[in-house]
Amino acid sequence: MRQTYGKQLPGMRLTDLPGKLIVIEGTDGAGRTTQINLLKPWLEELGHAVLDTGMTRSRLAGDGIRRAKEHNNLGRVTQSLFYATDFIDRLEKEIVPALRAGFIVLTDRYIYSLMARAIVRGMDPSWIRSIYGVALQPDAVFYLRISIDQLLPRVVFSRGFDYWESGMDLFPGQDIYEGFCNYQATLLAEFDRLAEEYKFEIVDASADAKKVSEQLKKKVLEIVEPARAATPAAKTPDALADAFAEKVLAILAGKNGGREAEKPSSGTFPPSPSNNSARWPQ
Amino acid sequence: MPAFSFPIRYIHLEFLLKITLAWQIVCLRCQGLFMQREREKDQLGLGLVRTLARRPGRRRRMGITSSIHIGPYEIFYPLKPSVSSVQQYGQHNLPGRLFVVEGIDGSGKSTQLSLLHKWLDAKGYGVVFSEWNSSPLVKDTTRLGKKKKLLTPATFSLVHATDFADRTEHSILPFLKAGAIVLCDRYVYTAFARDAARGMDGDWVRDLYGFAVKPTAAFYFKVPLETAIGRLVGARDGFKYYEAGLDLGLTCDAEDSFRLFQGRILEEYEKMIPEFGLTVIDATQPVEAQQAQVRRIVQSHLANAKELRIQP
Repeated sequence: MRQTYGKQLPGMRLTDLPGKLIVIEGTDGAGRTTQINLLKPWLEELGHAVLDTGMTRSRLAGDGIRRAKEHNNLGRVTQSLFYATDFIDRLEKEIVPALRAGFIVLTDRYIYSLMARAIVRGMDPSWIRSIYGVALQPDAVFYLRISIDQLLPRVVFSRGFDYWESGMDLFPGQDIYEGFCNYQATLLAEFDRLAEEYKFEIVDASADAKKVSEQLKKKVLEIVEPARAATPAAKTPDALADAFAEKVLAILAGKNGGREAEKPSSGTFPPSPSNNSARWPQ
Repeated sequence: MPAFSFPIRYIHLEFLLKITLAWQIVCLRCQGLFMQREREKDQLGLGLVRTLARRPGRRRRMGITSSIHIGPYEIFYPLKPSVSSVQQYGQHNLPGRLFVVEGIDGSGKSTQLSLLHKWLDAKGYGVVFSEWNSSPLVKDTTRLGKKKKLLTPATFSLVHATDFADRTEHSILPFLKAGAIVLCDRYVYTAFARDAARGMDGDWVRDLYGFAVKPTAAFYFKVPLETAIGRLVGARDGFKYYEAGLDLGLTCDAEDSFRLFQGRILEEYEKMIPEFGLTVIDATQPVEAQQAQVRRIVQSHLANAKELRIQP
């Protein structure tokens, strides 16, 4: 039985939804799309049906939002509600049916991004929480966290500044660079608050995409196939090297640390990833 | 030397001219910067928040937990909503007046509103009219949803809320601030009634419209269902899909569905009369009698209204 955060929509049965709902959150340029593009084929290779969805992709409101954003007369309340329309349409027409059919739903942003954006734009937090209270609680939220300094070069050297991503509607008269810094810093602060409230799993997104992806895959596997996650991962050279480095580090950590640390690993062999990380030197 | 061959009084003149120009540029720049800052503050609604949130005790009472520095400003969290909730606007001090009409299709509310509009125009007030479901920004989405039958009760509710938000931000609030009289054909109560009739949670919908301005007076044109149907059957060539609630699949026949659906809406209106203090007008009376009653009530609210005379 799934839960929503608040009220329930009419006609939405919460029982019998065997799929998994996995959310990838993060600010603009944190690499969400890249990660989803890596996760989806990998999951499909494992034999899972995957639906990926994201903001403004609804049939009902997607085009409407894009058209509205081309002009400068989109008000803040209107903007918040337009996105809510888009989200609910996808929730009812895509996400829930896919979960019912047993799909793994990978969603590029969920209600949290929408809430953060609205709150930063001065909307009443309790108002926006009430609206998105009808959303399903996901199985996991992976928050690709990145600091503003690491974010800047990515944005500048890939696609440049975007009017809305730089919060130019919020900080008119500012340079787009300053607007971007101010807006994204405010968003990050709000995200950190949400991360605590909604128990996000924080993934450090400042590493390169491949490493982040490894980390994500490990965590996703725990949700999607708890049985397989417990068995050792395929023994690729990378994995072996990691395991070796870990052992060396454990030995270096303390005089008797080496032996102590070895015991639990042989006791609970095969070791699970979480066990490994617990043995890292403090 | 060539430099000295230039007449000395010309050099003076040129120098003076340059000084004057430079000074003017400095003045304009300062003024521009000052105005820009004020504009920014206004945009962020910071003037108020800053002065209100200076003292820690007050901050706590306002529910402000933290702050963040953006450029020269300190922004407090959570921010006060830029558009306040219904309750907060209940006692609003905006110079304008907001009158809305409510009622089921065929109750005659639009006729009454247009008569009121003409009367206020003739008296020289600045009058603005805003119709349900008319925002240019959201119109295409609503039309697409209705045409392709994509709407569920939830998205139906949200599309209309988005439309209403756009109209609030662009054609209701600014005009109320400017002191105009704003007339609305249908208001949030229509959404409350219709969405409840479609099975949406009443509290959720009321929260959704929390940004709406409370009207000066809301007229509910009360009419029995059969009278309304009689007026509609004669005047129009059919019942519309969503207006008749055909999306709910109550029955296949449009007229029966209309009867069932509008019956539910009537019940919702009845509940809202005490909840929101709607002014009930008996819509079975002659048009003239209803209009006289409406004008009398509107007149009583116009005592201190600022008159925006378009023509002298």
